Parts: sequence; structure tokens; C-alpha cells
Amino acid sequence: MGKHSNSSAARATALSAVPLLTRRQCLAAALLGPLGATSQALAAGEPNCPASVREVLQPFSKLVGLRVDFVEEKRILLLKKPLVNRGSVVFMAPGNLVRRIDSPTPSAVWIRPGQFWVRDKSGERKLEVARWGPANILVNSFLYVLRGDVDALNKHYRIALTCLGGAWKLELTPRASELAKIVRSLRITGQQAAPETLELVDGSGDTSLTRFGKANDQVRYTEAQLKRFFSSPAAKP
Amino acid sequence: MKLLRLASLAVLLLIAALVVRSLRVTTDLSYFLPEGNATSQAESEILRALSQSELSRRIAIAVSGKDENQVLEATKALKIALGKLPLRLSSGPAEVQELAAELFSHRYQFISDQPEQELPVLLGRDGLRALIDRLKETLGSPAGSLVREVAVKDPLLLSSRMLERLSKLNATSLTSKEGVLVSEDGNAAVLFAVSREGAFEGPAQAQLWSQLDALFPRISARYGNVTIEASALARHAVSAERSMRADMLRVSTISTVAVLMLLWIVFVRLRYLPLLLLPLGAGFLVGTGVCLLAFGTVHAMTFAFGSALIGVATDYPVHLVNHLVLERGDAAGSRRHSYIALVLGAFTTVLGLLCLVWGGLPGLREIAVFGASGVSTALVVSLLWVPVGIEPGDRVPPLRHLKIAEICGNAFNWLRSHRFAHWLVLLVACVVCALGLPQVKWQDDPRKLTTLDPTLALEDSRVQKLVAGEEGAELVVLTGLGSEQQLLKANDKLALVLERAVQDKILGGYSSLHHLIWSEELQARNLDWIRAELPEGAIKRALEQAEFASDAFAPFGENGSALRVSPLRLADLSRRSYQELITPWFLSLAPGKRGLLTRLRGVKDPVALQRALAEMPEAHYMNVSQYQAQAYARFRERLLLLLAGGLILVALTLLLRYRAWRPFICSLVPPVLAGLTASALLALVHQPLSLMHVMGLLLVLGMGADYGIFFVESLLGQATVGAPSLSVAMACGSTVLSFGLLALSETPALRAVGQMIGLGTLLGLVFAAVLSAWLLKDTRREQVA
Repeated sequence: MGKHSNSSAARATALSAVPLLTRRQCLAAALLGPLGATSQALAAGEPNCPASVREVLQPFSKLVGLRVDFVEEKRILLLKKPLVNRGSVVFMAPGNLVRRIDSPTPSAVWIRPGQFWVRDKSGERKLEVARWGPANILVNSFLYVLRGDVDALNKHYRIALTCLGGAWKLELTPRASELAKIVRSLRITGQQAAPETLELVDGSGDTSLTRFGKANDQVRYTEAQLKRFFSSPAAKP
Repeated sequence: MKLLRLASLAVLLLIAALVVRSLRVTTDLSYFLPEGNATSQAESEILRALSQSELSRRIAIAVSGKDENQVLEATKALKIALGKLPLRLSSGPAEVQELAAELFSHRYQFISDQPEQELPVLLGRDGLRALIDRLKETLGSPAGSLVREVAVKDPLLLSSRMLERLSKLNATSLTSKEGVLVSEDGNAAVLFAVSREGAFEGPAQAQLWSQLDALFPRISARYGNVTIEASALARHAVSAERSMRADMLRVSTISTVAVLMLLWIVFVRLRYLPLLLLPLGAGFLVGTGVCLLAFGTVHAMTFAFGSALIGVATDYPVHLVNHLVLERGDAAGSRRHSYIALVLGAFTTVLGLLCLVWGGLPGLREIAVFGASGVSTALVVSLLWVPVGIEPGDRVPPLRHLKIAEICGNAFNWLRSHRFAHWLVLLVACVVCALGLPQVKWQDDPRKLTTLDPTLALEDSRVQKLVAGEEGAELVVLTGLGSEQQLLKANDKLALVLERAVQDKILGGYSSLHHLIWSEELQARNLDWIRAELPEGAIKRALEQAEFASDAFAPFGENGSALRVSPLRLADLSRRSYQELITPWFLSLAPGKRGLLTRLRGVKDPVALQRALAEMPEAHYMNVSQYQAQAYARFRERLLLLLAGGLILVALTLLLRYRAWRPFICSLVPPVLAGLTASALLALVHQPLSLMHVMGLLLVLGMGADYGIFFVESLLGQATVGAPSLSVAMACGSTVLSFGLLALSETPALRAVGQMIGLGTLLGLVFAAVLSAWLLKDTRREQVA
């Protein structure tokens, strides 16, 4: 990981640019983008609506590795038209996830337990998620989802499950006001056992809707491959 | 005579009272720095200011442990404990982040170093489009949320330029958590502190570090054995001083015992001891008093070297005791020549020392005044008081005393009758000089004069790696400017020069106050250009064209408030934590004069950099360690030159006294040849010579001349050579035992002094004996006196 050590200049720039609140929002967006990427792990073939949140989340913990393409539509209130990002997510259990945007402007995030790396035009830098209280909860929330840990999720969010004709929707609303400043709500939708979209509404009202393509849950990446996938925009997943 | 003795006692008591009342010892670096030359003067001032600056007083303390909680708890406890010590805790580099938010309102004043050239391009039509495109790109990137909020007020992201600069102010990878700076992995925390006293204030720093050395293990034990390490310039100084003191104590204990044994073996009567020590003590006292009267303070180095010089004075009472006891002081001719020997020896020493007064070096002047007054006093006290201590019964010397004198006399007589020995000794000396002198290498780096504790050095590098903000020893200091604004304006210009140097790959980088604040004039030029050339409508049109909702943006604030901001001044950043980011850049030079420093990294071509800086006469480029080495080298060169000048005066005096070449050579050549041969011998064993060797040489020349004079005067005045031979042998023996044993020291500075004095005095004795034995065989017949 030493290779990714950012220049302190870039780091200070990123950290100091805006108040802490928006840093957390960024983190939330980056982290929660890949939440729906576990769709193939739920392909149990059950045609009915899941009976509970636990039933929706439980299969996530069985994931070993997967790769999925996505299209993200960011609706920023400052822009008249949404920004559309295309990219892929690669996940390796227990805690390695790279979310890479290939177009229009290449960038990537790499999440490891307690670590959060960002690569964009200004270079690569590491952000200390463990230090940012509510943002840390968001990182852990992602892990709770992957572990199917409903109790932990319940501790931080009110979770509402709705289902109509096999299409379900999980709506997570933060319980703590600190967390609510970062993210107003998270919606994960799916058809039967396969999540299809993730929608994040952040504190400023900007939204990010990520639609997931077909996932491959047979991939197995080494750490070096993940690193290459993160660091090099040209590397193929 | 009795009246004179009483008067001398009264004077000594008066001086003792003065010394007790007003003794002030300093360790000021200017001691080694030359006067007169304006450039050197400025650089000396800078160096002195640096040694007192926060930069040199800074202490970085790293606490590392198994996890963040443990580290944080221990660090907080340490922070509280440190608050009770004589130091000030500094909040450290993380303040930069908070400062950035505060500077946001000044974003239009800190855009460009060259607003007239750069802004028309940066903020022209194409430039605006590029900046808006960059905003859009950033909003879509993972870092999009980082700029989302500021973009409303700063769509051109001009504030990011300020942030980039600020990050260069104190490059570090530490981040702040719960008021503590922690490392990236959270397993280490760093506290910064600034000691109240200067890094080279020995006693104060020694006390502080003994407190810290006791505190660290206590905190460590209380919080699960966290590792607490520190890095500070003063710590090395304290460690070097401790090791030097231990060395001195060890060596001086051995040498004191050895000298006492020598005196007991020869004199048998230990009651002569006070007679021998009284002149030394009086010389030291008067030397200190005269320095206090002349300079107001006494430098620690003066005590070290001045005391060594006064060591010459041991010879006077030894010579007198031998003369009074062995020769019974009754032969008028003998007595006259003995006294002449003492006076002439002291006079030539004082003459040589006084030459140093006009050397233009404060340190040498102080040593000279100390040594000259001390040696003169020792002589007077010897002449007045030593005869008082010799009782009538002492005129019958103990048998052992007589026997040893006889052995010495026989040895000298053997030399007189064996001409081959003269040739052999002189030939060997000449060969050694011919082979060794061309190989003499000078080592002027003062860091090589002390031993760096390897454990501390490793600890230091571990802490510095964690802090990751360490620059090289190269600096540029702006001086000679009156007001703060003049300094900042020059700093703006300097930054431009350095920026060009970075682009030209002459320089790796630099940290400067320019990264935080510019002169009011440069800020105004930026703002004036924006007001005149960039209407808000132009920004909004560029936003519209890039499909932004331009109404959501307010680049110039409500009613253009962002363009009505006053220039940022240092006084506006009055919060203590901000001042901590500002004050280290300023140096207090002479009263009322301030300097502003810039720290350089990776200077690849110092000559080219100096050329680039030539357009700024107020900018002084300095490599601190190199400059110190140069200052030491200049000091050494000047000292050698002055020694040569002193020798010429001594030669003239001896010529005037003897008016014959043989006694002249016997008294002058031994010390010169001894100094040269000792230097050559050291060079032959690959020992580089340093300033300390030259200081040792000073003593060798002083003593060596005395040996020659003692031999010459004794041979002129009497038939027997036992007493003078014994006197010279005892003087040499006590010197070798006192100072020569320092050659065994672990501290390079002490070792150097010991090597030169040990070898030099021994050789001085040999050469004085050989030349006197050879050339003064028929002295009495020549009637030179």
C-alpha cells in the first residue's frame, strides 16, 4: 500500500477543501455505490418477496468475489443535467472493494477495513475513515450489509422493507442526526434475490442512482490484481 | 616584599568577589564567527538567530503503541505532564487545515504571484471555460462531494490554489484527532513542543532532558508500555555534553592522581602542593575577572582553552621549587638566570597570546585576554609566594629528589656527549615532517568534534520519519529590511525566484511563509485585476455554457462582498495556534531587526541557485552545516596565521635577549619543530586535524618555548643541569598527564586536544633537550649573556 501514499500536498488539499460534513458525504457516495453489487449471491431462485430484511441480506455474507458493471446517474442541484458515470466494481471477501469509474473521467476508490483510497486526476490518496465518526458508520454499514448483520444495521438505521410483485425495496434512514447530515436516505431495490439499484440522497439533496448490470460472482482476484485494477485506468477487470 | 604579597592577596580577594558577584558563562555561537566583513557579519547574525530560533528549540515527541486508543490515551497524559515542564506545547501542522477555512474569504487575493501576466490567461474566456470544465469533472469524481459546498461560492475553485500552497507550509502526513496529531495508521501520535531556553543553553537543556527522560518511562509504564521517542537538536547537544563531561571526569581523575603521584615521587614533601596550585588558581581567577571586566561574560570555550593555557603556569612554581631546594637559590648567577627564565618564558607566552587579540575573532580575543592575564598572574604569584613556602629546613632536599635530579642531569649530559643522538632525533623529525605534513587534512565540520549517540540518532530518524516534515540544512534568509510588509514583499519576489529554480531543477522544493501569506501589495494587485477585468457575469456565462444552474452560484458573494475584503495581514491571524505557524519563519537578528527564512529541499546546484539569488542582495543563501564548517575553518586559519605572527614577535624578543644564534635556536626551534612533527605524525596515522588540534598547538608553542628558555638560561647561569632538566621533565610530565591523557577520550574534540598536547609537549621536551645539549656545549665560554 506504500505505493499509494499520496503526496501530503494533495492530501491536505482534499482534506481541507471543505468542511468535514461534505467529506463524509463523499465517502458515503463512494462506499454505498457498490452495495447492490452482490446481486448474484442472492440468486437463490425464490420467486416470492423476501419475508424480512434478514432474508434479503443474509446471502451477502457468502460472497467470495464478484465483479459487476454499473451506470451511475448523479443529480447535482448545481447542474442542469445529471452526470453519468460508467464503471465497474470488484469485490473480494472479506473486505476488499474497488469501485472504478471508466468514463467520462477515470477515477477509483478502494476500500479495505479501516482504509479508504481514492484515485483521480490529482493522484492517489488515502483517507482515514476510522477518524470520521458518522462516515465510519457508513463504512461499517457496508460491512454490516455484506455480513448480513441486520442487528448492527438496525442500530444505526430505521429499515423499511416494501415488496410488490417480487420487486422489493429496502429504505434505510439514519437514526442519528449526525449521520443524517451526511445521508438523508439510502434505497436498495431488487427483483426477487437480485439487487438492481442503489439510490443515495445526501445531506445537500443531491442524489446518486446506481444501476447494476449482470454480476459475475466467480471472479477471484489477488491483492496485486486489485491494486492494479485500482491504480491503472487501463487495467481490465 | 611583604607589602607586595599583602597587596597581591588583596587584589586576588577583590577579583574573587567580582567573579562571585558577576560571573556569567555563555555558549554563544558568535564566539567562533568573525567580525568586520559585512557579509560574514550578516551570516553570523543569522546563525546566532537560528541557534535561538524556534526551529532549533523544537522537540518532536512520538508515542507509538498497539492501537489508536492506547496511543491517544498515553499522548493525552503526556501532554498534561509536559505542560508542567519549561516548554510550550505547539499544536503542530494540522492547524493548516483550520487555517484554510479561515482564508477562504481571501481567495481572490491569493490567486497568482504574477497577476498581471498570469490572470489574463487563467481567467480569460478559454481559461474560465477550462476552470468550469474542471469543476464539472471534479463534481463527478469520487472527490466530488469535497468541493460541492465550496463550489457555490468558488466555482473556479481558486481556493484550491491556496490550499495547495498551504499544504507546502508544513509537509506532514499527520492528521488531527481529539486534539492530537496521529499517524496514517493511527498507531502513533506526535506532540510538538518548543523549549523555553535555546538548544545550546547547556544547563537548562540538561535539566529539561533529565526531566523528560524520567517522564517518558513513567507514562510508558502507565499506558501499556507504549514507546515514547523524541527528536530535538538540544537532545544531541545535551548528550554530547554529558558524554564529554563523563570523559573529562574519567580522564581528569586519572590525571590528577597521576600528577599528584609524580609530585610526591619527585618532591617527597606533599606540602609543596599548595605552592604549585596557588599560581594556577590565581591565574584562573584573574583570567576570569579580567574577561568579565572586558567582555561582561566568559564563554565556556574560554574556560576550557584558557585553563589549558594557564596550565603553562604549572611550570613556574615547579621550576622555582627545584631551584630553591636543589640549588639552594644561593648562587647569584643561578638565581638571576632562573628568574629571567621564568619572566622570559611568561613574557613570550603572553606576547604570543596578545597577538590573538587583533585577530578579529571574539573567541580568540577572549582566550587571549584570559590566557595572558592568567599567565602573568601565575608568574607574579609564583615569584611572590613560592619562596615563602620553602622553609629553611627544605634547603636539604630529600635523597629521592636529589637522585631524580641527578638522573635527569645525567641524561642531559649523555645527550651532550652523543652527537649521533642529536642528528638521529633531528633527522627523524625532518623525515616525519617531510612525509607527514603534505598529507595533513583539515576536518572543519563541528559535528565531527562530538560523538553522536547512535541510539539517539536512530531514535531521531524514526521520529523524523513519522513527522515527515524535515527539510535539509539549506536556507534562504531575508535580512536588512525594515518593516514587515517590506519583508513579505521581498518574500514574494524570493518565491518567484525559487519557483523558477524548481522548474529549472536546481531545487527540489521549498517551504516559506509565502505559502501562507503574501504582501498587501501583491494581494491588492490580484484583487484589483479581478475587480477591473473579471465581471461576475463572465463567470456565470461560462457556467451556463457548461450546463450549470448559474443562479445557484454566487462567486462574488452578496453584492460583490467577496471583492471588498481587506488584504490579509499577519496581525489578522492572531489566534495562538496560527501564530505558531507564523513565528518560526521569523528570526530575531540584532535588536529591532528581523529576518524571514525560507527552508529549501533538495538543492541540486547550489552555485546556480546562488546565481539566481544574485538579483536579491537582501537574500542570504546558507547551508547551515556548511556555513558552520566554513566558520570553523576560517577560525582555524586565522588562528594559525596569528600563531605565526605571535611566533615572529617571540622570535624578535628572544633575539633581543640572546643576540646569538645558538641560544636563539635552542629556545625558538623546539616548539615549532614539535608542533610540526606532532601534526605530521597525526597525518601519517590518517588523523585529520581540526580546530581543536590547533588550539592544542597554542599550548605546545607556549610550553615548548619555555622548555628551551629554561634550558638556555640554566646553562647560561650555572654549571649543573640537574635541576633545570628535572624542572623541564616535570613540567612536561605533568602536562602529558593532565592534557595528553585526553587523547584516550571518546569525544573527538577532547581526543584532538589530548593528541596534540600530549605529542607536542613530549616532542618539545626532546627537541629542547637535544638542541640545548648540542648547541650550548660551550655556552659559558661564549659569554652570550
